[in-house]
Amino acid sequence: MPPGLRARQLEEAFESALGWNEYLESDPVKAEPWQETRSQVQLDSDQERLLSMFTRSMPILMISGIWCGDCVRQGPVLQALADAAPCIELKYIDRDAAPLLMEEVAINDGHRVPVVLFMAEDFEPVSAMGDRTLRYYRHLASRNLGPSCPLPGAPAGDSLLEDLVTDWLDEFERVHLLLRLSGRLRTAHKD
Amino acid sequence: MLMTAAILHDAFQQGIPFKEFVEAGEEHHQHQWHERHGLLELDQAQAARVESFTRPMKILCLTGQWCGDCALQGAALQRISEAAGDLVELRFIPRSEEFAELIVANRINDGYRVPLTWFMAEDYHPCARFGDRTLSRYRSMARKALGDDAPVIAQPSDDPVREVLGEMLDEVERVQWLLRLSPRLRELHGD
Repeated sequence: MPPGLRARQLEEAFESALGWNEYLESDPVKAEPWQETRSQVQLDSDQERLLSMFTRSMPILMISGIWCGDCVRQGPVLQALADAAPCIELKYIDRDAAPLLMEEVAINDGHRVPVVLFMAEDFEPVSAMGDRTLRYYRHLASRNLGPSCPLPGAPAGDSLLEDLVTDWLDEFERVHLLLRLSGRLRTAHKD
Repeated sequence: MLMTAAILHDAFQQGIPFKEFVEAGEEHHQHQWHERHGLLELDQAQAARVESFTRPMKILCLTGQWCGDCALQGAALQRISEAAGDLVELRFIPRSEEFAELIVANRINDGYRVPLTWFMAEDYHPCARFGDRTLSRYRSMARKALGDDAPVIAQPSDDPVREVLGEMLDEVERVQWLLRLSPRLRELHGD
């Protein structure tokens, strides 16, 4: 099969994927840090207001590993954003349950997670982002590369969750505006 | 990410650098590319970020010479590539039949949108795909198209052209960190 994501393939994957509660129930022990991180994620009033203004249906699929530390940090952030936007439906699918999809979204010759797939209401693919956001990478680099002076753009303090909210919200907003301004969807919705 | 290394390698080999790509276009399309390039010199902080880059990377931009967003993002990427010396190799390909395999597999929201840019490791393994427009451009379009109904709360930028440079630099930096921290590349480079 030639490369490329297709709407039908994404719809099938989305149908078989799990919502937040179901996903965490699939492994209650490994789910604990997810719940803990979710309880720590807070949106400010501007972020909540922006998300409440979204109007286009937007399925989002996170290819994940419930065991994966990067997923533990980022999945609950995505869930917090989705909880504040009624038109967003966020689901989770395990990397091993979607091998063909993983081939399509391989990153740097590896099957990295998380990868987040953004779709239009009819599951036409719009964007794919993973495995980590810019600010997340800066946090990791400042910790793991140990320079004698700060890296350009390095975070000053431990603001990882706030930074993840900022980065992921930017992509949510970008995709939503792409859909809101789409000619074919404006015709379909007469708006 | 959303393409194979083999297809990207072949397309990159057929791609052409900024100057030749712009000059191959019709004369009335060339001006906007040159003008954007003239406006987008990196400032001191941006140059410092680029100087911190360490990994060779390839960037392939699928564009239309007639397309304003392509000229803007393409010129921004060219400025980043120039500042990075040999580390960041940038090529452009047109949205034409010879690249049908790439184009057909990478529809966005059921359309053949440009610009579409792949960020790759030194061995052409894809790390990210970005397109079509940046968040700041979508915000600007939404304000114009939807007026008070636009789902946007960010204030308009003082310099919308340079804002796109910042957005493209963010994505290049993100992929640089992904490559710098990649176990397979750390092993390869002994760092």
